[in-house]
Amino acid sequence: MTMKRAVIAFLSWLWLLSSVAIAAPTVEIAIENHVFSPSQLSVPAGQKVRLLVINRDATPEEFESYELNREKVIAGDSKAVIFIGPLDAGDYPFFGEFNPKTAQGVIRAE
Amino acid sequence: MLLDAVVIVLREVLEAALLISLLLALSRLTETGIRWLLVAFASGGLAALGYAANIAVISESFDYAGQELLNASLQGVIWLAVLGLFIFSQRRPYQHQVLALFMALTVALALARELSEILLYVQSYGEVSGNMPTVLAGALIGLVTGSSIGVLMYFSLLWLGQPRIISNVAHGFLAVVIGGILTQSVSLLEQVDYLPALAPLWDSSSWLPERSLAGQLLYALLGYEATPSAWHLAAYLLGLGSLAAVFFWQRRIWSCA
Repeated sequence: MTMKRAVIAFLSWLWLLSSVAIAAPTVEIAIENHVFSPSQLSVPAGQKVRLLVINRDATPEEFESYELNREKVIAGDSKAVIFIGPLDAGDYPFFGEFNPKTAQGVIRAE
Repeated sequence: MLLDAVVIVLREVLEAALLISLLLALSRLTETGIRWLLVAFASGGLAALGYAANIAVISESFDYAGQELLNASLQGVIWLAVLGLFIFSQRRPYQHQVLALFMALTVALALARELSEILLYVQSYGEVSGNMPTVLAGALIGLVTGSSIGVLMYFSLLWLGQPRIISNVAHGFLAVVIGGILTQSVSLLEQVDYLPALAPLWDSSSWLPERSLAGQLLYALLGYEATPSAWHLAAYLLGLGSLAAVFFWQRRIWSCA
């Protein structure tokens, strides 16, 4: 019985801690006419950030960044979430693989 | 448009082409035939169609983590299928149905993920741009280029001559390719916050950028990461180590037998 109680206590602490850890700030970025807007965004360094990418085009895009080790297909007219960081201060370029000429952007961690 | 299509398709095809060429070499050594490959193309192609058609629903499921969870699962099963293959690939007499099953499963799952992205791109951009022939031509060039690297790999392996050497090298390359595939699933799980992100262990992007041609090739072949975290390293070692362990375990059994 005490064992069961200890497990429950442990799990509730774990849940509490993880819900605190999950509370990463959300930063929004849109794709419109194959361009990211904003194409330059600042995020706090040393902190996990939840990037919400809204694709307003009817075509899919692939969010890609070698520097961030991120790669995700985003269907047309849909949303996607990509967690990044905690990042060291610096610039982290990203691009849309399906439209690499126009869909370019930089995330600045500071 | 043409060049974009070439690059996108080539990047996706490269990994599958390498996997297929390594498995074909093993298939030849074990006289398993190539019917498994046709089955894998058919089932992998169908799965890719289904994936591409439902990508929006899949992506937004599991609180926007659906795509990553599905891809990481596919990659995990690919690892297990190759583990299964390694258990039987040196065991005599060869059990062709079992070998064919593991090979087909590996290729079908790899194709499901990689073809779905190509289908999505070609279908939507071909339609929107009104320039389907250009997109298709680019895709074809990418497909042929990627496949020829696979063909080159296949014949380089055969050129080694001695079956035992071919077998060792093919198993070795398979193990590193799988190590690379598992590092990709780590990035996917970090991306949706199912694994806590860790700082990179090193940064070799100024020496060998991932976006360069050599970087892309090494990415497909060895799972090259310019900024790997401890998770990446652990996943790589898990893939490589588990396959090496099974390989040497089986070799000890069957070389004495």
